[in-house]
Parts: sequence; structure tokens; C-alpha cells
Amino acid sequence: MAKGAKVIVIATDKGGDGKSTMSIQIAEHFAQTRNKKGLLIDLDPQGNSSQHFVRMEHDPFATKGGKKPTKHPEYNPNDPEQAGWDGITSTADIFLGRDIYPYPTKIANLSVIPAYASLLQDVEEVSKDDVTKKVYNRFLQFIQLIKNEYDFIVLDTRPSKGPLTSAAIKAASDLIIPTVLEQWSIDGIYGLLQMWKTEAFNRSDENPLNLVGILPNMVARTKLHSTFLTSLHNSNSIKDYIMPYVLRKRTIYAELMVDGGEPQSIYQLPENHPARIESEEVCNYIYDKVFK
Amino acid sequence: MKKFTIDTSLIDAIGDTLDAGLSYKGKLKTEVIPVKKLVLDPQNARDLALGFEDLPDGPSTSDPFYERKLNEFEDLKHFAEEIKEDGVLQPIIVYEEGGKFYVIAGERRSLGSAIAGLNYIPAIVRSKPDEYNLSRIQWNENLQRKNLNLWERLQGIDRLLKGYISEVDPNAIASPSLIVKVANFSMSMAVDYFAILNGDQELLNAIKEQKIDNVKKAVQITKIKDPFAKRQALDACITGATLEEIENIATLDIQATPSTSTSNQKVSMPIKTAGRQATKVTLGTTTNTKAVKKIVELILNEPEFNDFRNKLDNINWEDYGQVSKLFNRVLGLLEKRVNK
Repeated sequence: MAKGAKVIVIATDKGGDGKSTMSIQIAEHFAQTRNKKGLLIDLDPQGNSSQHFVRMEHDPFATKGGKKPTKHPEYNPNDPEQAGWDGITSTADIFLGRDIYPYPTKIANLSVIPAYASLLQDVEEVSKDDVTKKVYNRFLQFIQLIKNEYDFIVLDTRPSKGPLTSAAIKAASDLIIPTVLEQWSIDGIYGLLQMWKTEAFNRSDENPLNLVGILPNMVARTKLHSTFLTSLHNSNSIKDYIMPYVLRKRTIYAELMVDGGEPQSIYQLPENHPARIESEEVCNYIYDKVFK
Repeated sequence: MKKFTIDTSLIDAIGDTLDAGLSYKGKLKTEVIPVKKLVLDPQNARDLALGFEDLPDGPSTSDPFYERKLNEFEDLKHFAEEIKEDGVLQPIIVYEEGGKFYVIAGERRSLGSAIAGLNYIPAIVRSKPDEYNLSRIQWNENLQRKNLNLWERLQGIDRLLKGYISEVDPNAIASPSLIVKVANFSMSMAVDYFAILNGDQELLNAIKEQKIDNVKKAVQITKIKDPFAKRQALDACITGATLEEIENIATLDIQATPSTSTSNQKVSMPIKTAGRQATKVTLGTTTNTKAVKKIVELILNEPEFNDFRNKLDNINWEDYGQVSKLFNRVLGLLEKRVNK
């Protein structure tokens, strides 16, 4: 059995399916409710999950938009040991070979390595010849280096099958695929599963890439969503990998992501709040699958 | 009216991808490992006599298995030439322990690579399986070559059974049903192999020495209870008797007919078959009229049967019908005598 942290990647092929929201919920649940020491690594230049835990600002050099982190709370320009550091650390530093200083969060057990949009965009534009060495191997080596420091590591990815998502899948022990129950999102499941399959073939018995499941997300009470959900459950080869719990389409999830808003966490909601109940159901299911 | 479905081709594509991934998850990772770190599994039923210790020059003339090893060595030298040309096309399967790689499947490729002088060989490195899974992998790999002899098949099944009981279910009992489960045989095949596995040592030795390689013949021999007849059947089998000839020894199936013709007829003993619970004694059947004559003479040796003894002179001992009637009559006399 592989030692060290469980490395959980949340990936989809399509934007807006709930990767970042899911990353945040899992990180908070495992750290806070399950008292596990964890790290969230944001590989999405959009920086949505970073923004929930770390103060971010717009990145003016990000040609496709995105954010960058503000200075690390422990940055001290007068400290000679920090000489040469500009006070900012991000996931891009993993690929640039620089030192990494995870940002603390309000949750004692949870740290974050935030995204830096323009730098991550540069990382993704590496050539095909260099991608293995400069992206995959570097990320894998970094994870190997730190995984004994944590109980879990959550990898939030961008909606694509590009180098950063591939690197995350290659370094992960567990994969979750959130999906909206609509045509384009379900089309995207197929592509992600192809990546999972290829990676699963290349793993040894001792280091598998487990498919935790496909999570029906933002489920509305519409005929479209219920029909699609039924179709997935009715397929003998798929049904065991559709999670038995869903996350409904609720405004509260968007409200929790508002900068400076209150509440900031699903765990600040009352215990009998429907969103909290269903989030805990999903996170408990994922926890049991990952830490079996 | 609105109608929504997920296209079946997409559902199938997703399902197929899941099936493929789950089927081979963790099983295909190929590495390149040093040939000099390979160790052959001595318990693999498909055992070549030749080992790494016999390479690169071949077996020593003083080796007790010299002839067999030499044949294998010559055969592998040809294989090594192909490997030199094309490389090892299919990875062997190994598990790692103590810095060595133990060959689960791919003995010939391993030895062939060593003879070819290769330093490295492609291998799928698995975690060390338990005894049951090790025997199962080797069984499936060996089965794919389809030229296992009967002894090798029995060894493989025996290992599977023992491994299953030891590692998977200690409460399981070796049985045809369990053979179906572990070896994926049909029930009729499983019954046959189970009977042979539980056969006596003489039969198993003959199979081990490759004097018997036919399942059906071996099964017939296991059905014989009489030690003398069993020995007879074993010898007959070793010397090339047909299945029918062995079946005849096994069943001593004798049928009487009204005709006086002596060809293809047998003595009919008074056989009375009972239902599930025997209510009468079955005396058996035989083709050996000399044996019947001996029995009759012994019975009629009693003084009270003097008159009847004379009738033996008129019996044609080659006529199964006559002999059968005589035996019935003698049995009847004996019954009257003991009932007095």
C-alpha cells in the first residue's frame, strides 16, 4: 500500500461543473470534521478555490484572466532568511523549481498553495517534448517530497485535459469527477475516464489510481436532470461509479464563495441546513472511499 | 412533448472505458529489469528442468536430468536467436522480494533472454501475490499454452485448491465444485480431475512418470475397487489399451443371451439391482468362466451335492448361457441347504 497522504484530484473536462466548490468542501470536511492535516493545491489559473482561503488579487499579466496571491502572511522583508523572496508563493513555483511556502487558512489543519494565473499559463505552454520533464515529473517529485507531511492533498484542476490536469492525475491516488447532468458535461466524463484508464494501466498494484466516483452536481428538479441521472444509474457498467448522493443546485453554494461574505463555509451553516446535510453526506462517502 | 435521453453510444463508451480500466488496473505497468536478478519459481507446475544455474553452457553431463535438460537447452537456444532478432515481445510477470525478481510467468522468455545474452528484460512487476493468486496466475498463463501434460494439470489444480483453502476460505473443502470455481472447469471435467487427484498412489505415480496421460482412462481406473482388477487395468493402460478395454475391466459388464453362440457373450450372474436401499445381494458379473467353475466346484465339493457334481461333466464352459444357468442352479441348491 502507498504510504503518505491520499492525493485526491477533482477533474472535469468542462468548466462550471463544480470542481473548485467540491475541492473546497472536501478540504474543509477532511480538515475540520475529520481532523486530518491537509493541503489544497490549486492548479487552475482562475484561482477560485485559492480565493476562498487566501487573499487574492487580479493578475494583470494573465492573458486569459485569473488571479494571483497576495503576500504570504508570514512574509517579513526584514528577515535575512527571507532575502530574495518576494513574499508570494504559488503552484507555479513547483514547476519553476522555487521554494514553496503553503499559505495558512482559518482552519488549523488546512494549508493552501494558491494559483498564480499568468505563471501557470506559461507552464502550460511548454512544448510536447518538455512536458514530461518540466511538468509531469516536477509535479510528481514535489508530491513525493511533501506527501509524508500531510494526511490528504486535494488537487483542484482547470477544465481541460492539458498538461496541468494530466500532471495532477499522474500524481493522484484518487479521482473524483463532478458532473452536471447535461449533455456537454456528460460528454466530458468520457474524455476524463480515458485519461484515468491510461493512467490506471500504468500504475502498479501498490500505487493505484482509484476512481472514487462520478458526482452528480448542481442537480435541479427538472425532467432533464432526473432522466439523465436515471440513465446513468441504469447502466450496469456505470452505476457502481455514480455516487449515491447528489449535490443540488442551491444558491447558498455561490453565496459561500463571495469575497468577504458571511457565512464563508458550509460548516458555518446550521447542522440541519439542507446544503450542509447533503455536503456532509457526499464528503463522508468520499472520505470512506478514499481512506478505506 | 419534451424527451431527453443520453445517447446509448455515449453510455456504452463510458461503460466500456470503465470496464477496461477496472479490468487491467494495476496490471499492465511494464518495467525493464536485470536478467541476472531473475529467480525461477520452483513450484510452478510448468517446470522446465533447466535453470539459470545451467547457463550459459548448458547442463553438465553429470546432471541426473542431463538428457531432458539438454533437449530443453537446445530448444531454448533456437528461441534465444529469435529474442536476439526481435527482443522479448511480451513482458514476463514477476514479483519483487529481497532485491530479486521471482518469475510468476515467463520462464522460457527468462531463460531465453539469458541465453541470448540480454542484460535486461521487460517485465510487469506485481506485488507478491498470496499462494492462491500466485497459483491462479500461473495456471492461467500455463493454460494459454495448452500443452500441459496430465500431471502438470493435476499439479496446477492441486495448488489452486490448496491455495484457495489456505488464503481465501479456510472452511472450503476440496471438491469438484471447488475445482469448477478455481480452475474454471465444467462440472464434468472437475469430477474427473477430482477423482484422479484422489486416486491411489500407483495411478498418480504412473501419471507423474507420463506413462498415463489420458484423463478418461485414468478416471476409469479410479472406479475399480478390486485391487487385482485395478492393477490389471493400470498395466493395460500403460501398455496402450483402448478406453473401451479399460472400461471392460472396470465394469465387468456381462450380459447373457439365449443364443448358444460363445462369441461376444458373457456369464450372467444373478444380478438384482435394488433401489436406493439394497434389498438383495449382487454377486457381480465376469467373463472368466474358469473362475465360475472354481466357485461351483468348491460349493459342490460338499458330500450332499455328490449327485449334482456329476452334471458338471456335461457343461460347455465356453457357453456363457449354460454357465449362467448352472451357477443359478448351484446357488439355489446352496440356499436350500443353508435354510434347512
